[in-house]
Amino acid sequence: MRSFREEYRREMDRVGTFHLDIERMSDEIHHHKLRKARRRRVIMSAASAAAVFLMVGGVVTAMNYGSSFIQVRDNGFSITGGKWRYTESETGTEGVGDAGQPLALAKEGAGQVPEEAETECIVYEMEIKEYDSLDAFREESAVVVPIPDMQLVGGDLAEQNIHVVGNQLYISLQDTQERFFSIMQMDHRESQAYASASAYAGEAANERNFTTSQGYTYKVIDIIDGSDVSNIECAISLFGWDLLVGFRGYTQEEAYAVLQSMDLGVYVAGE
Amino acid sequence: MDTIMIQDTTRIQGKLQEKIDSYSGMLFKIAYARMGNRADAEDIVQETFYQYFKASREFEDEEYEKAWLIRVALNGCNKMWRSSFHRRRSEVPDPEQIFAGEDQETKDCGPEEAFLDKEEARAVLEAVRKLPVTYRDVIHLFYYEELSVKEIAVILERKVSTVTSQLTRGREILKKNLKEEYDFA
Repeated sequence: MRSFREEYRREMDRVGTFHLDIERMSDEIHHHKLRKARRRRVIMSAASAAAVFLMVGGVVTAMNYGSSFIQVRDNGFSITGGKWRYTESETGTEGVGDAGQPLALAKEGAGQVPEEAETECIVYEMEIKEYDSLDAFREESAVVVPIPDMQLVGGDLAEQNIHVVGNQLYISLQDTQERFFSIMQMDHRESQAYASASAYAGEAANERNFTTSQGYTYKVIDIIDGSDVSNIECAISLFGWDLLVGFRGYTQEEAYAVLQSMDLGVYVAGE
Repeated sequence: MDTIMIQDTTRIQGKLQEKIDSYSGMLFKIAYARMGNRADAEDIVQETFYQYFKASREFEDEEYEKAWLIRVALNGCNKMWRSSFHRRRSEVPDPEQIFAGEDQETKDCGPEEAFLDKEEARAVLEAVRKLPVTYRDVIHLFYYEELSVKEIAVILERKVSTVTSQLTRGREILKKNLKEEYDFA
Protein backbone atom coordinates (compact mmCIF):
# COMPACT_ATOMS: atom_id res chain seq x y z
CA MET A 1 0.00 0.00 0.00
CA ARG A 2 1.38 3.40 -0.95
CA SER A 3 1.95 6.12 1.57
CA PHE A 4 -0.46 9.00 1.22
CA ARG A 5 1.97 11.26 3.07
CA GLU A 6 4.78 10.57 0.61
CA GLU A 7 2.58 10.82 -2.45
CA TYR A 8 0.98 14.07 -1.30
CA ARG A 9 4.31 15.61 -0.34
CA ARG A 10 5.83 14.58 -3.65
CA GLU A 11 2.99 16.12 -5.63
CA MET A 12 2.92 19.30 -3.58
CA ASP A 13 6.67 19.65 -4.09
CA ARG A 14 6.09 19.50 -7.82
CA VAL A 15 3.81 22.49 -7.55
CA GLY A 16 6.97 24.56 -7.15
CA THR A 17 7.35 27.67 -5.11
CA PHE A 18 7.02 31.40 -5.34
CA HIS A 19 9.79 33.93 -4.98
CA LEU A 20 8.85 37.27 -3.57
CA ASP A 21 11.17 40.25 -3.78
CA ILE A 22 11.37 42.64 -0.83
CA GLU A 23 11.65 45.60 -3.19
CA ARG A 24 8.11 44.93 -4.27
CA MET A 25 6.76 44.29 -0.81
CA SER A 26 7.95 47.55 0.64
CA ASP A 27 6.16 49.58 -1.97
CA GLU A 28 2.48 49.55 -1.10
CA ILE A 29 1.35 51.10 -4.35
CA HIS A 30 3.31 48.65 -6.41
CA HIS A 31 1.93 45.82 -4.32
CA HIS A 32 -1.65 46.78 -5.02
CA LYS A 33 -0.92 47.44 -8.66
CA LEU A 34 0.49 43.94 -8.90
CA ARG A 35 -2.61 42.44 -7.34
CA LYS A 36 -4.84 44.40 -9.62
CA ALA A 37 -2.84 43.37 -12.66
CA ARG A 38 -2.99 39.73 -11.64
CA ARG A 39 -6.71 39.89 -10.95
CA ARG A 40 -7.23 41.56 -14.29
CA ARG A 41 -5.29 38.78 -16.00
CA VAL A 42 -7.36 36.09 -14.31
CA ILE A 43 -10.61 37.87 -15.15
CA MET A 44 -9.47 38.13 -18.73
CA SER A 45 -8.76 34.42 -18.99
CA ALA A 46 -12.01 33.50 -17.24
CA ALA A 47 -13.97 35.88 -19.40
CA SER A 48 -12.38 34.63 -22.59
CA ALA A 49 -13.28 31.06 -21.70
CA ALA A 50 -16.84 32.07 -20.92
CA ALA A 51 -17.09 34.10 -24.06
CA VAL A 52 -16.11 31.20 -26.27
CA PHE A 53 -18.76 29.09 -24.64
CA LEU A 54 -21.44 31.71 -24.70
CA MET A 55 -20.92 32.43 -28.37
CA VAL A 56 -21.79 28.89 -29.37
CA GLY A 57 -24.91 29.09 -31.44
CA GLY A 58 -24.13 32.36 -33.11
CA VAL A 59 -25.54 35.82 -32.85
CA VAL A 60 -28.77 37.03 -34.34
CA THR A 61 -30.92 40.03 -33.74
CA ALA A 62 -34.17 38.21 -32.99
CA MET A 63 -34.71 36.24 -29.84
CA ASN A 64 -37.54 34.82 -27.78
CA TYR A 65 -36.80 36.40 -24.40
CA GLY A 66 -39.19 34.24 -22.49
CA SER A 67 -37.50 30.91 -23.15
CA SER A 68 -34.78 30.78 -20.51
CA PHE A 69 -34.59 27.83 -18.18
CA ILE A 70 -32.86 27.60 -14.78
CA GLN A 71 -31.79 24.27 -13.42
CA VAL A 72 -30.25 23.56 -10.02
CA ARG A 73 -27.20 21.35 -10.26
CA ASP A 74 -24.95 19.66 -7.71
CA ASN A 75 -23.12 22.83 -6.82
CA GLY A 76 -24.85 25.67 -8.56
CA PHE A 77 -27.17 26.75 -11.32
CA SER A 78 -27.19 26.22 -15.03
CA ILE A 79 -29.18 28.53 -17.21
CA THR A 80 -30.08 28.02 -20.84
CA GLY A 81 -31.88 30.43 -23.03
CA GLY A 82 -32.83 31.27 -26.57
CA LYS A 83 -34.12 28.85 -29.15
CA TRP A 84 -32.04 25.95 -27.90
CA ARG A 85 -32.44 24.28 -24.57
CA TYR A 86 -31.93 20.91 -22.90
CA THR A 87 -33.89 17.95 -23.99
CA GLU A 88 -35.81 16.04 -21.33
CA SER A 89 -33.24 13.25 -21.25
CA GLU A 90 -30.42 15.70 -20.57
CA THR A 91 -32.05 17.22 -17.54
CA GLY A 92 -31.81 13.87 -15.81
CA THR A 93 -28.57 12.11 -15.00
CA GLU A 94 -27.98 10.96 -18.52
CA GLY A 95 -26.07 13.48 -20.56
CA VAL A 96 -25.21 15.60 -17.57
CA GLY A 97 -21.59 16.75 -17.54
CA ASP A 98 -19.32 17.26 -14.56
CA ALA A 99 -20.75 19.21 -11.66
CA GLY A 100 -20.76 22.88 -12.43
CA GLN A 101 -20.03 22.39 -16.08
CA PRO A 102 -22.56 23.52 -18.62
CA LEU A 103 -24.55 20.84 -20.32
CA ALA A 104 -24.40 20.43 -24.04
CA LEU A 105 -26.92 22.49 -25.88
CA ALA A 106 -29.56 20.54 -27.66
CA LYS A 107 -32.12 21.59 -30.15
CA GLU A 108 -35.56 21.53 -28.66
CA GLY A 109 -37.36 18.40 -29.79
CA ALA A 110 -34.45 17.08 -31.82
CA GLY A 111 -32.10 16.16 -28.99
CA GLN A 112 -28.94 16.91 -30.94
CA VAL A 113 -26.48 19.74 -31.01
CA PRO A 114 -26.75 21.56 -34.31
CA GLU A 115 -23.65 21.19 -36.44
CA GLU A 116 -22.93 24.86 -36.68
CA ALA A 117 -22.83 25.07 -32.89
CA GLU A 118 -19.71 22.96 -32.87
CA THR A 119 -17.95 24.79 -35.63
CA GLU A 120 -18.66 28.39 -34.80
CA CYS A 121 -16.25 29.65 -32.19
CA ILE A 122 -15.43 33.30 -31.96
CA VAL A 123 -12.69 34.52 -29.67
CA TYR A 124 -12.42 38.20 -29.00
CA GLU A 125 -10.82 40.40 -26.42
CA MET A 126 -13.17 41.57 -23.73
CA GLU A 127 -13.26 45.10 -22.50
CA ILE A 128 -12.75 45.11 -18.74
CA LYS A 129 -13.60 47.96 -16.44
CA GLU A 130 -13.02 47.91 -12.73
CA TYR A 131 -14.53 50.19 -10.07
CA ASP A 132 -13.73 50.26 -6.39
CA SER A 133 -17.06 51.71 -5.30
CA LEU A 134 -20.69 51.56 -6.29
CA ASP A 135 -20.72 55.34 -6.44
CA ALA A 136 -17.93 55.32 -9.01
CA PHE A 137 -19.71 52.60 -10.98
CA ARG A 138 -23.00 54.52 -10.98
CA GLU A 139 -21.24 57.68 -12.03
CA GLU A 140 -19.16 56.24 -14.85
CA SER A 141 -20.96 53.17 -16.14
CA ALA A 142 -24.03 52.92 -18.31
CA VAL A 143 -24.61 49.25 -17.44
CA VAL A 144 -28.15 48.56 -16.27
CA VAL A 145 -28.37 46.66 -12.97
CA PRO A 146 -30.96 46.42 -10.20
CA ILE A 147 -29.09 47.89 -7.22
CA PRO A 148 -30.63 46.88 -3.87
CA ASP A 149 -31.34 49.07 -0.88
CA MET A 150 -27.84 49.43 0.52
CA GLN A 151 -29.10 49.79 4.08
CA LEU A 152 -30.49 46.27 3.78
CA VAL A 153 -27.23 44.99 2.31
CA GLY A 154 -25.29 46.28 5.27
CA GLY A 155 -24.90 50.02 5.41
CA ASP A 156 -21.20 50.29 6.22
CA LEU A 157 -19.22 48.60 3.50
CA ALA A 158 -15.67 47.49 4.14
CA GLU A 159 -14.94 46.46 0.56
CA GLN A 160 -16.52 47.09 -2.80
CA ASN A 161 -15.42 45.50 -6.06
CA ILE A 162 -17.20 46.01 -9.32
CA HIS A 163 -16.04 44.55 -12.62
CA VAL A 164 -17.63 44.95 -15.99
CA VAL A 165 -16.30 42.27 -18.31
CA GLY A 166 -17.81 42.48 -21.75
CA ASN A 167 -21.51 41.83 -21.27
CA GLN A 168 -21.06 40.59 -17.71
CA LEU A 169 -21.14 42.52 -14.49
CA TYR A 170 -19.75 41.37 -11.14
CA ILE A 171 -20.48 43.23 -7.95
CA SER A 172 -18.97 42.05 -4.69
CA LEU A 173 -19.62 43.90 -1.43
CA GLN A 174 -18.44 43.12 2.06
CA ASP A 175 -19.81 44.91 5.08
CA THR A 176 -18.03 45.59 8.35
CA GLN A 177 -19.61 42.48 9.89
CA GLU A 178 -17.83 40.30 7.30
CA ARG A 179 -21.03 39.59 5.41
CA PHE A 180 -20.72 39.20 1.66
CA PHE A 181 -23.22 40.19 -0.96
CA SER A 182 -22.67 39.61 -4.64
CA ILE A 183 -24.34 40.11 -7.97
CA MET A 184 -23.39 38.55 -11.26
CA GLN A 185 -25.34 39.77 -14.23
CA MET A 186 -25.07 38.53 -17.80
CA ASP A 187 -26.63 40.18 -20.78
CA HIS A 188 -27.62 37.57 -23.38
CA ARG A 189 -30.05 39.71 -25.32
CA GLU A 190 -27.97 39.46 -28.48
CA SER A 191 -27.56 35.70 -28.28
CA GLN A 192 -29.63 33.28 -30.24
CA ALA A 193 -28.79 30.61 -27.71
CA TYR A 194 -26.69 30.35 -24.62
CA ALA A 195 -25.96 28.22 -21.62
CA SER A 196 -24.13 29.31 -18.52
CA ALA A 197 -23.27 27.60 -15.28
CA SER A 198 -22.27 28.78 -11.86
CA ALA A 199 -20.39 26.63 -9.39
CA TYR A 200 -20.01 27.31 -5.70
CA ALA A 201 -17.72 25.87 -3.05
CA GLY A 202 -20.13 23.36 -1.56
CA GLU A 203 -23.24 21.42 -2.41
CA ALA A 204 -26.51 22.91 -3.54
CA ALA A 205 -29.48 22.05 -1.32
CA ASN A 206 -32.96 23.19 -0.29
CA GLU A 207 -34.06 24.33 -3.73
CA ARG A 208 -36.99 26.74 -3.45
CA ASN A 209 -38.57 29.77 -5.09
CA PHE A 210 -38.94 33.31 -3.92
CA THR A 211 -41.42 35.59 -5.65
CA THR A 212 -41.02 39.32 -5.25
CA SER A 213 -43.85 41.79 -4.90
CA GLN A 214 -43.18 42.69 -8.56
CA GLY A 215 -44.14 39.13 -9.44
CA TYR A 216 -40.69 37.91 -10.47
CA THR A 217 -39.63 34.50 -9.16
CA TYR A 218 -36.05 33.67 -8.15
CA LYS A 219 -34.75 30.14 -7.89
CA VAL A 220 -33.05 29.92 -4.47
CA ILE A 221 -30.61 27.36 -3.06
CA ASP A 222 -28.47 26.95 0.03
CA ILE A 223 -24.83 26.06 -0.45
CA ILE A 224 -23.69 23.54 2.12
CA ASP A 225 -20.02 23.35 3.05
CA GLY A 226 -19.47 20.47 5.46
CA SER A 227 -22.69 20.47 7.43
CA ASP A 228 -23.34 24.21 7.50
CA VAL A 229 -25.16 26.52 5.13
CA SER A 230 -22.33 28.73 3.90
CA ASN A 231 -24.35 30.94 1.61
CA ILE A 232 -27.68 31.52 -0.06
CA GLU A 233 -27.64 31.81 -3.83
CA CYS A 234 -30.47 33.08 -6.00
CA ALA A 235 -30.93 33.05 -9.75
CA ILE A 236 -33.39 34.64 -12.10
CA SER A 237 -33.47 34.97 -15.86
CA LEU A 238 -35.67 37.40 -17.71
CA PHE A 239 -35.75 39.28 -20.98
CA GLY A 240 -32.34 37.95 -21.98
CA TRP A 241 -30.68 38.92 -18.69
CA ASP A 242 -29.39 36.38 -16.17
CA LEU A 243 -28.96 37.57 -12.63
CA LEU A 244 -27.25 35.64 -9.84
CA VAL A 245 -27.39 37.09 -6.35
CA GLY A 246 -25.36 35.66 -3.49
CA PHE A 247 -25.49 36.14 0.26
CA ARG A 248 -23.03 34.96 2.86
CA GLY A 249 -23.63 35.71 6.52
CA TYR A 250 -27.23 36.78 5.91
CA THR A 251 -30.36 35.07 7.20
CA GLN A 252 -32.95 34.01 4.66
CA GLU A 253 -35.22 36.85 5.78
CA GLU A 254 -32.43 39.39 5.29
CA ALA A 255 -31.61 37.93 1.89
CA TYR A 256 -35.23 38.03 0.76
CA ALA A 257 -35.56 41.62 1.95
CA VAL A 258 -32.57 42.56 -0.21
CA LEU A 259 -34.04 40.71 -3.22
CA GLN A 260 -37.33 42.47 -2.63
CA SER A 261 -35.58 45.83 -2.79
CA MET A 262 -34.02 45.10 -6.19
CA ASP A 263 -36.11 46.63 -8.94
CA LEU A 264 -36.09 44.13 -11.80
CA GLY A 265 -38.18 46.56 -13.77
CA VAL A 266 -34.89 48.07 -14.95
CA TYR A 267 -34.61 45.17 -17.38
CA VAL A 268 -38.05 45.89 -18.82
CA ALA A 269 -37.28 49.59 -19.02
CA GLY A 270 -34.18 48.74 -21.03
CA GLU A 271 -36.23 47.01 -23.73
CA MET B 1 20.93 61.38 9.92
CA ASP B 2 20.03 60.33 6.39
CA THR B 3 22.74 57.69 6.49
CA ILE B 4 21.30 56.22 9.71
CA MET B 5 17.81 56.10 8.20
CA ILE B 6 19.04 54.38 5.06
CA GLN B 7 20.95 51.85 7.16
CA ASP B 8 17.84 51.24 9.26
CA THR B 9 15.64 50.77 6.20
CA THR B 10 18.16 48.41 4.67
CA ARG B 11 18.30 46.43 7.92
CA ILE B 12 14.49 46.15 8.11
CA GLN B 13 14.30 45.14 4.47
CA GLY B 14 17.02 42.56 4.98
CA LYS B 15 15.15 41.13 7.97
CA LEU B 16 11.91 40.99 6.04
CA GLN B 17 13.60 39.33 3.08
CA GLU B 18 14.89 36.68 5.47
CA LYS B 19 11.36 36.04 6.69
CA ILE B 20 10.08 35.90 3.13
CA ASP B 21 12.78 33.42 2.20
CA SER B 22 12.00 31.31 5.26
CA TYR B 23 8.23 31.23 5.02
CA SER B 24 7.10 32.04 1.49
CA GLY B 25 7.44 28.43 0.31
CA MET B 26 5.36 27.13 3.19
CA LEU B 27 2.70 29.81 2.81
CA PHE B 28 2.56 29.31 -0.94
CA LYS B 29 1.89 25.57 -0.48
CA ILE B 30 -0.77 26.22 2.15
CA ALA B 31 -2.49 28.74 -0.10
CA TYR B 32 -2.13 26.47 -3.13
CA ALA B 33 -3.64 23.54 -1.23
CA ARG B 34 -6.61 25.71 -0.39
CA MET B 35 -7.07 27.68 -3.62
CA GLY B 36 -5.92 25.15 -6.21
CA ASN B 37 -4.12 27.59 -8.49
CA ARG B 38 -0.86 29.49 -8.52
CA ALA B 39 -2.20 32.96 -9.23
CA ASP B 40 -4.41 33.01 -6.13
CA ALA B 41 -1.73 31.37 -4.01
CA GLU B 42 0.82 33.99 -5.07
CA ASP B 43 -1.59 36.80 -4.30
CA ILE B 44 -2.20 35.36 -0.86
CA VAL B 45 1.51 35.02 -0.08
CA GLN B 46 2.05 38.58 -1.24
CA GLU B 47 -0.85 39.83 0.86
CA THR B 48 0.33 37.89 3.91
CA PHE B 49 3.78 39.45 3.84
CA TYR B 50 2.26 42.82 3.16
CA GLN B 51 0.20 42.41 6.35
CA TYR B 52 3.33 41.27 8.16
CA PHE B 53 5.24 44.29 6.89
CA LYS B 54 2.41 46.63 7.85
CA ALA B 55 1.85 45.11 11.29
CA SER B 56 5.56 45.40 12.24
CA ARG B 57 4.90 43.43 15.38
CA GLU B 58 7.28 41.65 17.66
CA PHE B 59 6.68 37.95 18.21
CA GLU B 60 7.52 35.95 21.30
CA ASP B 61 9.32 33.34 19.27
CA GLU B 62 9.52 31.88 15.78
CA GLU B 63 6.74 29.37 16.37
CA TYR B 64 4.40 32.16 17.30
CA GLU B 65 5.44 34.11 14.25
CA LYS B 66 4.94 31.09 11.99
CA ALA B 67 1.49 30.48 13.46
CA TRP B 68 0.55 34.13 12.89
CA LEU B 69 1.67 33.99 9.26
CA ILE B 70 -0.26 30.80 8.59
CA ARG B 71 -3.38 32.27 10.16
CA VAL B 72 -3.12 35.43 8.07
CA ALA B 73 -2.60 33.34 4.93
CA LEU B 74 -5.63 31.15 5.71
CA ASN B 75 -7.73 34.22 6.44
CA GLY B 76 -6.63 35.56 3.08
CA CYS B 77 -7.79 32.30 1.49
CA ASN B 78 -11.15 32.60 3.28
CA LYS B 79 -11.57 36.11 2.05
CA MET B 80 -10.78 35.16 -1.51
CA TRP B 81 -13.10 32.14 -1.38
CA ARG B 82 -15.93 34.27 -0.17
CA SER B 83 -15.64 36.79 -2.93
CA SER B 84 -18.26 36.21 -5.54
CA PHE B 85 -15.69 36.78 -8.21
CA HIS B 86 -13.72 33.77 -7.12
CA ARG B 87 -16.67 31.52 -6.47
CA ARG B 88 -18.18 32.18 -9.82
CA ARG B 89 -15.34 32.51 -12.16
CA SER B 90 -14.83 29.71 -14.58
CA GLU B 91 -12.24 27.09 -13.89
CA VAL B 92 -9.50 28.21 -16.20
CA PRO B 93 -6.58 25.86 -16.65
CA ASP B 94 -3.58 27.19 -14.78
CA PRO B 95 -0.90 27.99 -17.39
CA GLU B 96 1.83 27.05 -14.94
CA GLN B 97 0.04 23.93 -13.89
CA ILE B 98 1.12 21.69 -11.14
CA PHE B 99 2.91 19.34 -13.45
CA ALA B 100 5.46 21.91 -14.44
CA GLY B 101 8.23 19.40 -13.81
CA GLU B 102 6.63 16.58 -15.72
CA ASP B 103 8.66 17.01 -18.90
CA GLN B 104 11.87 16.07 -17.17
CA GLU B 105 10.22 13.17 -15.38
CA THR B 106 8.61 11.94 -18.55
CA LYS B 107 12.07 11.64 -20.05
CA ASP B 108 13.11 9.36 -17.20
CA CYS B 109 10.40 6.76 -17.80
CA GLY B 110 8.16 5.46 -20.52
CA PRO B 111 5.19 7.51 -21.70
CA GLU B 112 2.68 5.00 -20.35
CA GLU B 113 4.30 4.96 -16.92
CA ALA B 114 4.52 8.73 -16.93
CA PHE B 115 0.84 8.97 -17.83
CA LEU B 116 -0.19 6.61 -15.03
CA ASP B 117 1.99 8.44 -12.51
CA LYS B 118 0.49 11.70 -13.55
CA GLU B 119 -3.05 10.39 -13.24
CA GLU B 120 -2.36 8.97 -9.78
CA ALA B 121 -0.76 12.21 -8.67
CA ARG B 122 -3.71 14.15 -10.00
CA ALA B 123 -6.02 11.82 -8.08
CA VAL B 124 -4.25 12.52 -4.77
CA LEU B 125 -4.24 16.29 -5.20
CA GLU B 126 -7.77 16.28 -6.54
CA ALA B 127 -8.98 14.20 -3.61
CA VAL B 128 -7.48 16.71 -1.18
CA ARG B 129 -8.89 19.62 -3.13
CA LYS B 130 -12.35 18.12 -2.97
CA LEU B 131 -12.32 17.96 0.81
CA PRO B 132 -14.33 20.56 2.71
CA VAL B 133 -12.09 23.51 3.50
CA THR B 134 -11.84 22.81 7.23
CA TYR B 135 -10.54 19.28 6.61
CA ARG B 136 -8.29 20.38 3.77
CA ASP B 137 -6.31 22.78 5.96
CA VAL B 138 -5.86 20.18 8.66
CA ILE B 139 -4.81 17.47 6.21
CA HIS B 140 -2.28 19.75 4.53
CA LEU B 141 -0.76 21.00 7.79
CA PHE B 142 -0.54 17.46 9.14
CA TYR B 143 0.75 15.62 6.08
CA TYR B 144 2.76 18.28 4.31
CA GLU B 145 3.94 20.62 7.05
CA GLU B 146 4.17 17.67 9.43
CA LEU B 147 2.71 19.64 12.31
CA SER B 148 1.28 17.85 15.31
CA VAL B 149 -2.42 17.97 16.11
CA LYS B 150 -1.61 20.25 19.03
CA GLU B 151 0.36 22.66 16.83
CA ILE B 152 -2.43 22.70 14.25
CA ALA B 153 -4.97 23.43 16.98
CA VAL B 154 -2.91 26.44 18.12
CA ILE B 155 -2.48 27.75 14.58
CA LEU B 156 -6.11 27.31 13.59
CA GLU B 157 -7.35 28.41 16.99
CA ARG B 158 -9.42 25.26 17.35
CA LYS B 159 -9.67 22.71 20.12
CA VAL B 160 -7.32 19.72 19.94
CA SER B 161 -10.37 17.44 19.95
CA THR B 162 -11.85 19.38 17.00
CA VAL B 163 -8.65 19.08 14.98
CA THR B 164 -8.43 15.37 15.83
CA SER B 165 -11.94 14.71 14.60
CA GLN B 166 -11.41 16.84 11.49
CA LEU B 167 -8.24 14.91 10.71
CA THR B 168 -10.05 11.62 11.20
CA ARG B 169 -12.99 12.69 9.08
CA GLY B 170 -10.70 14.07 6.38
CA ARG B 171 -8.81 10.79 6.25
CA GLU B 172 -12.05 8.82 6.01
CA ILE B 173 -13.20 10.86 3.03
CA LEU B 174 -9.80 10.56 1.36
CA LYS B 175 -9.70 6.80 1.94
CA LYS B 176 -13.11 6.45 0.37
CA ASN B 177 -12.32 8.71 -2.59
CA LEU B 178 -8.92 7.15 -3.19
CA LYS B 179 -10.43 3.67 -3.05
CA GLU B 180 -8.46 2.51 0.00
CA GLU B 181 -5.23 2.50 -1.98
CA TYR B 182 -3.20 4.57 0.45
CA ASP B 183 -1.78 4.19 3.89
CA PHE B 184 -2.54 7.29 5.97
CA ALA B 185 -0.06 6.80 8.78
